[in-house]
Amino acid sequence: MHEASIAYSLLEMLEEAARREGASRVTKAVIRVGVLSGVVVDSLVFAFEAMKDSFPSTQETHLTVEVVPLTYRCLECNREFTRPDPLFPTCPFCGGISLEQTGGEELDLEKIEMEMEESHV
Amino acid sequence: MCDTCGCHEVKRVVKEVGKKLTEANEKVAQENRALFDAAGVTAINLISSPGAGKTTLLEYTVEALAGRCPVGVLEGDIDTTLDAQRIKEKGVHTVQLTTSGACHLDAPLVRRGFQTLLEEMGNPPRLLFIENVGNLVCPASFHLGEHYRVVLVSVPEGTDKAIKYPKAFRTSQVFLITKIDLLPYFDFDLERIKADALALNPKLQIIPLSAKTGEGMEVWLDFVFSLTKI
Repeated sequence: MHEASIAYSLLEMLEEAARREGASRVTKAVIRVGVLSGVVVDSLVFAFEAMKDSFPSTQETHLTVEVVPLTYRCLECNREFTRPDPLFPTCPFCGGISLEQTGGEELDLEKIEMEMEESHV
Repeated sequence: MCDTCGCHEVKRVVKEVGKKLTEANEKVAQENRALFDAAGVTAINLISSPGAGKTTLLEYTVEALAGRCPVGVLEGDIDTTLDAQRIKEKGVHTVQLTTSGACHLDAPLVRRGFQTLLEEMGNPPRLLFIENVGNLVCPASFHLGEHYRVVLVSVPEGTDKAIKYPKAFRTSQVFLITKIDLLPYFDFDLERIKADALALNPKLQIIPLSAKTGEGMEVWLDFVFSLTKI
């Protein structure tokens, strides 16, 4: 995939958030990457670390990646379960085949932690 | 450090975001889709490895559509205008999108191409075919705003190409198995690739065909003609 351009888009989002909030640094960023998103997490983290100094606010950002498994909700018994691959999924609880995929393709910026230095009057 | 009193008190702010990292392309893709809908255009994105037969399929398709409805084509390639030339020779308005290195079309490029096409045609096409850059990987991850995505695999490429490129099959609605006139010359298991494709995407419409001999083409054309009635 395009891990480098995705990493750069992420850095741009962080810089924009910092600017909007008047923050000097982004200390932490949490992203959620689904196993079927098409993104290689190691490559994404590598690209992120390599390009962190693109912006003043992201120089020391600590990136956390939450990997989201392929998750389904059974429309028959309403339970949620995960699967290792997307081939012919069936509910392990009731055997149902009417399923809704509820996770596994995410590529989202979940949370940002920023620091503003307080000026005391 | 605070420049008033010299202390090290920092204010921390945590923001819950929930934004897609592919937001920039997604936003433009949605805008493209809205533009197409407003203009009564049905857009079809063709994806495949290089050489699976996208351009040849389009040559036959636009010929069959001649006189039925206005057709426009966006041709995506890293370099050359060869494909656009081929379609133009069929008398169809075609815009070549040259990426100069990018291995897939993206929504902004398609937007610009569509705008150029509109200027050329005067009126919007009823059907817009977008031939993506030959690549079974990246085009699967970039929405263009299309209504339908069609994935092609040709007989010489091998039986395992569906299972090896799951995202291309999961995100498409139609799967064309092309060059079936070559079945006698290759160890290509038609039933196996169909089973693999359906395992990935049970809703896929699968059409084996040969643009060269015409076999199966009527099923593809039926699908295309049905789009003009919507």
